[in-house]
Amino acid sequence: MKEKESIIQSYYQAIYKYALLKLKSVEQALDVTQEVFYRYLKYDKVFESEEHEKNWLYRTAANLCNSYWRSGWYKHILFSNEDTEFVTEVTPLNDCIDKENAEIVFSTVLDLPIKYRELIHLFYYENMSIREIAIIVGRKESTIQTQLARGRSILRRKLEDAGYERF
Amino acid sequence: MQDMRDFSDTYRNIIDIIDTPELNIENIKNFEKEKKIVRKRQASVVRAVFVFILLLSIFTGGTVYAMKMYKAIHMTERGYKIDNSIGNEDIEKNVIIDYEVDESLQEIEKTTDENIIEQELNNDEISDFNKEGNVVYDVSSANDIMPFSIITADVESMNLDKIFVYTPETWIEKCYISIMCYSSDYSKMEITYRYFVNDNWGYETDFGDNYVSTKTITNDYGIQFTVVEGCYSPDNKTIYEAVASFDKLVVIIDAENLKEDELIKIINTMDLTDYNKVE
Repeated sequence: MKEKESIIQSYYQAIYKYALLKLKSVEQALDVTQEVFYRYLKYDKVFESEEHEKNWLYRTAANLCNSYWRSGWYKHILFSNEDTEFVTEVTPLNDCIDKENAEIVFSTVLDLPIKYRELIHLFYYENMSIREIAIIVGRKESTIQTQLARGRSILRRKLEDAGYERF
Repeated sequence: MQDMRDFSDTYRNIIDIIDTPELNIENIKNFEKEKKIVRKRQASVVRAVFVFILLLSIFTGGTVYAMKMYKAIHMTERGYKIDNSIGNEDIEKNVIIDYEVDESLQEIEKTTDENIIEQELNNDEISDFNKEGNVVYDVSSANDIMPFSIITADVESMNLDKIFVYTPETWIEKCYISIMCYSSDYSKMEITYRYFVNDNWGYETDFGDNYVSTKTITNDYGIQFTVVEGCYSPDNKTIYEAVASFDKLVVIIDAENLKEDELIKIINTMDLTDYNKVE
């Protein structure tokens, strides 16, 4: 049990942030995170490896987020939630060195369609490989590659349009 | 590639500083209990809504029923009775108008006392008509209140093949029926005036010799009425054939005692917009 608690400590923030990026709602992300680790505590099978354990956590989080996505209630909440309000709600961007660019980047990522947004997050924040991402989101590696390239392209264009200075 | 690295760094910095709620393992362990509580709350809300809807339905249904009962009692008190047990529910919409009699006409009441006695003797005939499948408008008791009865009805819903206005047979010799017809579209009142049987307003009746003549009365509201006047017998289909061409009709039973100018006086005081309100 103690081992499991240490794993929870390790992945708690990452899973919460992943859910937050997918759902764009603090309450729902917290709910999903709690349920992921509750299921994890109840899961009595032995994981083959640490990587297997990590992938299991992300995959469970992804599935629970998708369940929220499918519910009509969540869609209603989503449409009433402005991205700009969400950005200021979850991040103290004033702490960033380059606040203006940070706002542009975060808003642009949040503005991406969900299928690209989660790939960008897993790839650039979690530093996951294409293979790992494919396991978590349940798509083929080739699909992930294509979607990641397309996501990057959209991201680049949107960042340019928004006046991101690094481009 | 460089630009995506810049993006990656910036993005990572942002995500790193996202506020994360404090981890509480106990909360996670109790997650199932919390979910059960939420589910219980949801279930109780659903139950409450269901009970509310149920009570609302009962209340609404009860109110409608009470209104119907009130209407029935109210009409009975006034001496009117509509027998719509045959099944044409639309007939219920046909309204007996509470028509105030001009004080100058009250004297006529005295002359109809004999009719009240006669019509009581013929109640059996009313039930006979029912057996035949005819919808009977029994207006006999109305004479307790006033010397004539006024019924309004939608011709369409009356189904004239089966419906007729009943008055006791022994009464027929003395009874005149005046039927005023008008269209349901009051703005296009283009009806001419016709009346049957007897072109004299009044007292000489020829049962077997029905004929039609026309006359127009325009009342104070500019509405032209068709008035059908004549004696009635169950075999006489002429009246029904005549009124079938109109959307609405007003039947005045026992108009025998109304002189032409009295009948016209009634017609003149009729503002058809009032009928709209009643319907």
